[in-house]
Amino acid sequence: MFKFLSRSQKEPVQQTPVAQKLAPTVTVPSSKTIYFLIGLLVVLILAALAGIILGTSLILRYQKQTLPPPPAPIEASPSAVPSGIKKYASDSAVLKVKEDVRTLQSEISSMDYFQTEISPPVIDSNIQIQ
Amino acid sequence: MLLIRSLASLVLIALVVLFPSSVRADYQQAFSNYSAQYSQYRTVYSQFTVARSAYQTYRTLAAQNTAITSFRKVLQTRNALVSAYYDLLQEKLNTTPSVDPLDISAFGEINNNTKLWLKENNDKIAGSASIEDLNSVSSEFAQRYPQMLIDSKQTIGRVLLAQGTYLDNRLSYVTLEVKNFLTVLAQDNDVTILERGILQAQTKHDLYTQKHDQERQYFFPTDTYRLDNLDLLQGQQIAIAANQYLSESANYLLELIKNVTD
Repeated sequence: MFKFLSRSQKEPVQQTPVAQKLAPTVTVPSSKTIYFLIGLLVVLILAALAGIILGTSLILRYQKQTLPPPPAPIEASPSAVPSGIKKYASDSAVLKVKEDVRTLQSEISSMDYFQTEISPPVIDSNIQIQ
Repeated sequence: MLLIRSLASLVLIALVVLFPSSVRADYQQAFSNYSAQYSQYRTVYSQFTVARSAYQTYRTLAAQNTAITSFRKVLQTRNALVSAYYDLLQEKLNTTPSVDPLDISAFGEINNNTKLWLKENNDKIAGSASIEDLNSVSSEFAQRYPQMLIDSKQTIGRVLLAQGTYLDNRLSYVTLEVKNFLTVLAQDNDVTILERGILQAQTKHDLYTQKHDQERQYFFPTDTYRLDNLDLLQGQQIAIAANQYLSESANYLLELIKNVTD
């Protein structure tokens, strides 16, 4: 047992050719490569932003093209009542008709819907002595 | 019978047309009589409740006799009140414009039949000697009372329908006046805009007609079992809605006229 330990301390382990191939090799990138990668990343980000902005503007432009045009402002139409009828404004027959309509409106509004005078009397319908 | 009814209707119409003040006086007289009977009923009923309470408390012979006398009196007073109320309804139909004379005579028969029944009930009251007999007679009135309520509500419905018909006739007359006026205007002017007012007024009138028919169906349904649930307030609300259309129709006519006068 002591012979085993002493051998490992004294003699370095010699790797086989297969083991040499399988052993991982670590390489540290150079500063130029790092700068290149950073720059590439920035360019990619900028390109993505530009793409988003461009796409949004295209979408909005398309929507603007499909939206219906705003309605034309409504202008008050000129009075369609012919001015020639104003000569009848003081005509007695016209004034009578106007008064008849007003009287009718008054009669409609004053109609008694509840007819309280002829409502049935409140009585005890089944008078009993128990 | 039909000839007699027709003659009676003609006489009634003549009375209403020739002697309106006398017809109104009949209604006022009927209302005064009804009011007096109502007041008397309340007084007699309160006296009865005192006598009943005394009998139920003391159960003496004197209290029993007093209770029987009071019981008899309140039942007779109640019958008199109902009789006066039916007379009031009759006079209301007589004095309301546009009520069909056939409806007036039909209620007249109802009134007569009710009075006959009340007379029989009064005879039973007079012939009752005990509290039990009077309780039995009073129960007969209680069984008859729902039909009396239906008679009352349908009469009120008939008054409302007739008033609506009267206003509708007035509106038709005024609409015709306006149309005649537009015909004169159209000779020299383009009245297309004004004619739209007539169309709008007529549209509202058509809506009134539909509502009026609904009101009639409510107060006088073909299915008589619906009369048990006849709600006077609901019928009145239908009448209000119907006349609202009349009012709107009149408004359109007034706006049309104002285009000329204002």
